[in-house]
Amino acid sequence: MITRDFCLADQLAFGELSGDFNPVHIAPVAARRSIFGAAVVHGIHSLLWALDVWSQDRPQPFNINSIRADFARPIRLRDVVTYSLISELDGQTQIHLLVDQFVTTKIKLKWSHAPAPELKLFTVGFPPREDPKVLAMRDAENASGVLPLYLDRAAAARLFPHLGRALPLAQLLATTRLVGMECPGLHSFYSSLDVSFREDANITPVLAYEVTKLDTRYGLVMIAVTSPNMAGKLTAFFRPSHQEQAHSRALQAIVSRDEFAGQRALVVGGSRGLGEVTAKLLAAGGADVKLTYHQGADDALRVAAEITSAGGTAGCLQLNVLDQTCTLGDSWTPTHLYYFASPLIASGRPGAFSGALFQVFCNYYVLGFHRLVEKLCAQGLKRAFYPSTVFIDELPPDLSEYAVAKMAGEELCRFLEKAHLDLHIYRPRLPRMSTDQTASFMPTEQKDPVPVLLEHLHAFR
Amino acid sequence: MTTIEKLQSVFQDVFDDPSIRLTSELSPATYPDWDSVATVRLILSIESEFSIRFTTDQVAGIKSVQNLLAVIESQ
Repeated sequence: MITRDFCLADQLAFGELSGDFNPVHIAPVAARRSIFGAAVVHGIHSLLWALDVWSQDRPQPFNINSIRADFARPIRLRDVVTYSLISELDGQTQIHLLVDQFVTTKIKLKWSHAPAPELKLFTVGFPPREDPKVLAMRDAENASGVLPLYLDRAAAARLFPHLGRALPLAQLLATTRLVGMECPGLHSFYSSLDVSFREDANITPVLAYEVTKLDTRYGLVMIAVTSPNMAGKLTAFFRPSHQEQAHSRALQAIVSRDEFAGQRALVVGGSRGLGEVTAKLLAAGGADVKLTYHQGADDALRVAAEITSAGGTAGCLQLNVLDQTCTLGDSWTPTHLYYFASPLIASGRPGAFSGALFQVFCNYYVLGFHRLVEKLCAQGLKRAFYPSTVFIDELPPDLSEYAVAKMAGEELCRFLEKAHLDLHIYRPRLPRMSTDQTASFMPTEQKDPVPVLLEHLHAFR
Repeated sequence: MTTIEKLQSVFQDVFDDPSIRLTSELSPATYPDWDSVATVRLILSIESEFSIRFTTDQVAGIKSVQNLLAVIESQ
């Protein structure tokens, strides 16, 4: 069995080679706010790795005539990716890449025993490093353009040592630069590639592209591409950008100035999502807020600065709830705990129950919460807000581990209340609300977190 | 060709899986490759094959083949 994982260094090397510096691939902290919840491998990177493996023991010469690749599911950094040769017959090959038994990448090749045409229509070296464009969906309608071709052969050989010259690499690399940097650009998802390679008279060293179809309902973009010796089509999506939450100043209009006064509120996971909204609502009502972050220092500082500029009181501190030795210091002790620490929720496999994933959720929702409450109770904590979920009642097929872990968290709350008789833990089953965690390509019913959370903050107060 | 036969052909093409056999209970819970992106691909293929157009509400309500069949047969 052939497996590998992709680390950040691999991603940066491929970004340099391809010119696709989209942060969803190379900036883990920014990428955690994407629809994928983490940095993901370039689809073309996974494709070229699969082709490199396939090429490894293949008698030379050979020439790949066409490739169809579906990037069905994201591959996250450190996922263990398994290469699987599904079939090979008469110059037609089918390869799958899998993560946790899920097919992430489906590849179909047509190839022949013939030398690949030598083609040097590219600029030798790396593409210039640029920022990805932010294209509005309406601007993609009939968009067209050209991207110069680049290839650094030494860098390509380091990443894909067995591919040799069987493929027009510069052209394939330009397709990921097109999707990730140009069209749709920053908020994109490369979904599929269907290209064929044949010698032609085109000697213009560019990848020319034209959007042939745009479906604004789903952000779907179909793009025709032509380049020396390569022609075909790509499918990409405008992926939802991260979810902006209501501004502190807007919340002042719906929160009474002193309704949370007297609270020293520790909002764990307050740098974004429901924790961010909670921190802003509490501060708008006069609470002294400390919001914690694990990785998103910039997000936390932004939220705290926004609260402060709106006249509230807020500070932030780094806290990893999985770290058993974490401390908050004793110069500021909270009267109220709001616990929004969470890993990526939508990571389950439909219809299955993963013990490993359940353990990940339990580490956050049970063990991390327990540890923190015990520490804070020793400092006098009397009230805690534990956000549970309606998914316990609904049990969606891909959220079983999440729902069961939250249910265990509810039971832990009962235990903690018995162990600390003066402790009250409010544990509402919250509905699906608009956050980074619930962003989707599909239209789904999501509630505005502001009125939902405000109602519960009133009930908890 | 019946509606379900045409729909089965769409599924086989979208999922690149000729072994798929449609039942009304087939759903994302029972067919792991059926995620949100696959749903978009299915809808676009169905719209093309059956010359119909899904509304946003109809798309949001798709939980199984049964839901897809209901939309197709309502148009």
